[in-house]
Amino acid sequence: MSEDPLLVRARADLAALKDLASPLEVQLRTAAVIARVLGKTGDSVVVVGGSAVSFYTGGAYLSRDVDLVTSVSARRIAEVLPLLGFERHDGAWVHVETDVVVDFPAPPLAGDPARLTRVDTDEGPIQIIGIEDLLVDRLNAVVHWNDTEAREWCIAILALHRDLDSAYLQARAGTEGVAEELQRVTAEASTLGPRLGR
Amino acid sequence: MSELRRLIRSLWREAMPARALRPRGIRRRPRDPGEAAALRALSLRIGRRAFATRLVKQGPRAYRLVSSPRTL
Repeated sequence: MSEDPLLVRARADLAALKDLASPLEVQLRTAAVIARVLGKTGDSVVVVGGSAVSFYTGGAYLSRDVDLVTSVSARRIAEVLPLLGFERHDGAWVHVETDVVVDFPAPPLAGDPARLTRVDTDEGPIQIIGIEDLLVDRLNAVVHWNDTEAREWCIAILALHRDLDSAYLQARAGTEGVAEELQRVTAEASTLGPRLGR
Repeated sequence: MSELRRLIRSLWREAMPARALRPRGIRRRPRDPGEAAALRALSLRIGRRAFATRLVKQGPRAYRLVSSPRTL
């Protein structure tokens, strides 16, 4: 029986990424290939966590792995990922050629599916958790874990982007009990020069 | 603590006072204000360059990743 052409192409696309120099680009394009394969049944695949921070900081932050939240079952993931060239190591999936580490945190997505960011790549589109939801997630780390590293990246994201839904961000921050910290990091970010346009 | 260990620690602290004063832990990035400001500026420079070149805005919540040539 011949192999599914979708899997053959996906495996070749992933292997070709090993020559790229930018970790962010390799991660995003890897995520796009995985989304293309896992999402063919209509399931969503969304980049969250550190690799989302990496995207919104333009690669200034380097994430160790790619976190993907998906409605695809763990069983289906375990069937498909080895066919794409991934091996399971200590609970994470590692691509044998690119060394990209992929993890699948348990759903649901901790954010609004209507506020996802779409990134088109040569391998297809990938969705990234909304910038406001990512900020609230990182602010929780700042407030509850005293994560000073996360605080720096919140400031960087706020300094880089102005197309935020401020009302939604403030409402979510209020609900999560991180509104005061949001005010502080926003004030610090506002001193750092012009932000990116729409 | 043995005398030898105490001596080694005091010498190390003398030799590397800044490092010795920093709190430990992987989540902390304690830095003096000048170092922190420089790193913050560097992050913004990297980010601004990426969004001006490789991450092209196409609309609200939509970007295109410009593929780079293979360089490795």
